[in-house]
Amino acid sequence: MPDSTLAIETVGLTKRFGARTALDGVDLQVPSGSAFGFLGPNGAGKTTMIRSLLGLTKASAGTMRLLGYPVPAQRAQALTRVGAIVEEPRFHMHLTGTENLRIVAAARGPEAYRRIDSALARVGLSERAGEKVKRYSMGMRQRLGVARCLLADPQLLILDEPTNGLDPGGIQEFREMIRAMVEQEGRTVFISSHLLDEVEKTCDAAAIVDRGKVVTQGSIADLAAGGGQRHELIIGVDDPVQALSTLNGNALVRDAHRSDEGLRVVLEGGPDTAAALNAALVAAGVGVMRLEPVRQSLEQRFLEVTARLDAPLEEVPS
Amino acid sequence: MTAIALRMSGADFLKLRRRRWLVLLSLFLTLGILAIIYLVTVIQHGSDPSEHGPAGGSKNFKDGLAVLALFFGPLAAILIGIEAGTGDASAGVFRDLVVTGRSRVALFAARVPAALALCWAVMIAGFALLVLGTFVFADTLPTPTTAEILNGLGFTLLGTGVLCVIAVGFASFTTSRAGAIVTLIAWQIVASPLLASITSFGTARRALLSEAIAHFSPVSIEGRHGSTVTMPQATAILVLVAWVAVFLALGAWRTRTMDA
Repeated sequence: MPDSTLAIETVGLTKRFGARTALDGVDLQVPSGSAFGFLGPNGAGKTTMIRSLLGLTKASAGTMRLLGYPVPAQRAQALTRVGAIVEEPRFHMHLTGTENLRIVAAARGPEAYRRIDSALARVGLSERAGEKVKRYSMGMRQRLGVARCLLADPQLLILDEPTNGLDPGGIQEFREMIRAMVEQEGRTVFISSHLLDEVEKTCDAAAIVDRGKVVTQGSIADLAAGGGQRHELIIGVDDPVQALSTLNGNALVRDAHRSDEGLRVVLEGGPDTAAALNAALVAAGVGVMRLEPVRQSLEQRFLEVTARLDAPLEEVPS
Repeated sequence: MTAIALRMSGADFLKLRRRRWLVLLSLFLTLGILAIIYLVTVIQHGSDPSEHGPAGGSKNFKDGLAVLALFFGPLAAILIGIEAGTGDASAGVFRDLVVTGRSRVALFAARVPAALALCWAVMIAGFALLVLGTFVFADTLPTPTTAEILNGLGFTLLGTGVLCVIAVGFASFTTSRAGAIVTLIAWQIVASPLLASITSFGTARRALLSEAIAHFSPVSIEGRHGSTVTMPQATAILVLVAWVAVFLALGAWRTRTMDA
């Protein structure tokens, strides 16, 4: 049994389509038992990554492991416990939900056949399972796609833009289902998405990809905070001019400037330096009325890293 | 055949038999056309028996067999084979089957028995109507022997089966339903008879699929035997096997190597 502390591991994964490089030496590590977001703008290479992992298209270079199995060498063994939705879930529209699951169960084996009813129940489609899929809404097709994944009793689910076409209620349900799969059932869920909010609310960790490269990866909190290196404060003072003069001359401050909310201060050190800054301001005769850390959002971080690809890539501890 | 292979073929058969337009069109091309022929002939015989003979009997059996086994049955076989070959790709579910980890060649192989099962079910239904009409409407005419009937059934299943399997392979190779339909039907109905009629091609015409199939035909067309080109039985068998093998290999190769 291979070591599967990492559900997905790629080293130098590269995929070229003629002169165009869709994946450019991707190194990715997805820990088992987590919800992992693969975040990037449209055309960043997310779907190509998934297609390469699943053997739907052949990688040009690099190595991959799924659940510890090297692929493509042991692809069949790896995929027995992998469920995937690639792009939008597609079905034979002239067949019912149950019949569509039977088609895939036939290829997976007798255990998968026995899971059809429970998979349909798990996604709340039992009552509509006898209807032709062409009558299903987009949300129902997404859920049927997940049911199809569950036929494998997957250790790893790979979902490509899973909330596309879902209404807000459907997105919320989907998010809860993913969290339950991770927290209660111990599965790993790999979600590719261009929706920052979705990844931030659903995932434990993420990688940001752009133009075929993984720009940064780590826990959601670390990513949002810039890998633990970027800490900001908003400071409300009675004398902003004096305060700025004091702050800009302080070695603990990388940058300080006025903003609508007060003085915005980027620290050189961690958040524990806030107390020292407060003391410095008070010592300079500045009255401090408010001092609060800025909570970075993944969206800010995403926009930062995808806007400066020409700069050297940074390492973010996971 | 393993249990999984059987289930996979069963799943492919399910996809085909639930494709309503395919089943209805195939039944029309076999049962429907024969029913129309019987209807017209019965009406003609009823209105003017001295000019038009009964609709049944040996001669009408052979005419009906030509219609079923050489003209409309092959069309149905091609349609069924092409649907089996392209159904997964055109519905976009081929990739979902690939990510099960099952070998792509196994996915391709499952299509062949499924297509044959539907093709032969339709052909047997058509042939049953043909035999029924042959005896019911025979009146005073002689009827075919059991050997002639079995020979006709065997030929129908052989010819349509070969075409159906080739269609599965060709469609899996091209992955284009429309392209495969046009190409195969044009080849069988237009190009092959044309090439067979060019005597300067000599024995090279033995390589034509339609000629090899027609070699086994128990019925005559327009006063001649089914095949324009004479060839030994072994050659005809070899030609059929070669056509089937080449197109199965092409279909399997494309299914194994294509981006899903």
